[in-house]
Amino acid sequence: MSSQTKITVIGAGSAVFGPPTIAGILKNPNLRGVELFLHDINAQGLEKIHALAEKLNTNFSAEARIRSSTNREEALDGADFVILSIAVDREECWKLDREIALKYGINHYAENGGPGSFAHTARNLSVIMPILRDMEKYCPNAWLLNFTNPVPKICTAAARYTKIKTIGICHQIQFGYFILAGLFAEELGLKIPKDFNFRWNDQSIALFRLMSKKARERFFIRAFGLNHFTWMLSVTERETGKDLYPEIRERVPKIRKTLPSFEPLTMEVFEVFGLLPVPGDCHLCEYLPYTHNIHRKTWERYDIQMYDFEWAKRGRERMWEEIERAIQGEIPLSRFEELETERGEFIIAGILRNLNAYEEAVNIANSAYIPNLPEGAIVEVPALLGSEGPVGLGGGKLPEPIAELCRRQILITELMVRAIVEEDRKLALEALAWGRETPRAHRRTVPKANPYYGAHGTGYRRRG
Amino acid sequence: MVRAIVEEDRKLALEALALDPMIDDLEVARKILEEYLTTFAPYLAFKLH
Repeated sequence: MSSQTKITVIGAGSAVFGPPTIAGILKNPNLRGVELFLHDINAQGLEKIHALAEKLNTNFSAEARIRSSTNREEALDGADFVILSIAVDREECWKLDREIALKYGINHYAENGGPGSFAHTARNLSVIMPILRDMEKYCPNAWLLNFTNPVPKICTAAARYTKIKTIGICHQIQFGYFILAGLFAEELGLKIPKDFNFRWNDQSIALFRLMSKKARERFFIRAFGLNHFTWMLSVTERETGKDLYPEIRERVPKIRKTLPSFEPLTMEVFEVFGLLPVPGDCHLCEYLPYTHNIHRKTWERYDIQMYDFEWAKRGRERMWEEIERAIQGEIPLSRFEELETERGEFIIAGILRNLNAYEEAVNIANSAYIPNLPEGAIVEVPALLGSEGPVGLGGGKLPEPIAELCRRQILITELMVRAIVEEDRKLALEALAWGRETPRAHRRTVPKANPYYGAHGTGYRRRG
Repeated sequence: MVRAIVEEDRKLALEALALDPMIDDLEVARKILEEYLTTFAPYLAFKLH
């Protein structure tokens, strides 16, 4: 590594991802004096985020050297760490992913699992593969911290087709704590409104954050599996180390009666498969066949909350306004200091300063961490972060039925990524046929392959 | 499935059905299991608890 560590953020000109990521890096004492290179193809957004970064740099006395450019080569040249968070017309396309599948009778979340994830992955890899090729050229030894969804699919492409060292990052484990907070609301001093379920609105998300925070202070989750599909192998009380599963087993049937609106799919899946899933109903449903049947209206029965595109748009507009006002000095910078980060800065600090710091969840190639999942598959596990990179922690086997659910997703991921990168339509069909897991679906996938291929180009316009 | 039957474990039977590629609704899995067990009670040497 060069004397000054270079951290490059690709997709920095985003209101949602830029500020917390940059504030996280600049306020981390282990990352004093780094070079922070911001890159985006959205020049206007990039300019604003750069101005904000300069303000934060002064405010935190981070002594960083802030640079920015829309030129990718310049951004990547000699980088030690590359943070990647991009999207291609994210919300318009996501909506279409969902609507196209709906025409064929599949009601799904359409982001990271199911047929929609094929289109999502194909679009994102169209942009990301050239970035990874550039990394091989301009910073072959850099660590890639990938935040782009679908995380396991993007990381699988990086692992199979490039030489880049990759860590996939996602903070979904906070949902696991949220679920525990629902089960242990009384002990945590939380008042949960009747009929409460997670919803994409400010009020619900504020309560979600509070619940997640309270439960995290008190409890400790060790989760293993796949991104957005990990399972709590153990839940303990931080202070005493007491195993909470006996209590959880008693409480789940109760909460299904007293607060049936609260994460109903999670609770039912726990009853059938015996471990609590981490991701919350919105993402859990992406890898299971139980909420997509339009005739039986299973989506409505579990009250799955589709991501609210309008809410996201309003939040983004509000954030740009705040960024503008902060640059003008009209509002205090503490607003950005408080933003919840996605932990990229801790992972970088762990590697850079050889901290051997514990991270609850990273996405890396399985190396017997979960013995009954395939070697080399991208799994989400806890890890220690030191100078060699992430050293995954072993959790033992997952119960075999849960492992089987994970193996199906691993197979779909591997097929899908290969289909896309090797431009093989037959493989894509095979991946989609596996996704639905019913014989009749095989026929349905045939007409679907076309609209997905043809509906959108592969522009690289960043939204957000 | 075999273990569920021989060990008379209803929970395992539900798990096996839930994993079946033809099942896309957990409520259906529960109902089919109940109906089979009730309908064929006279034929069954195993009582799934």
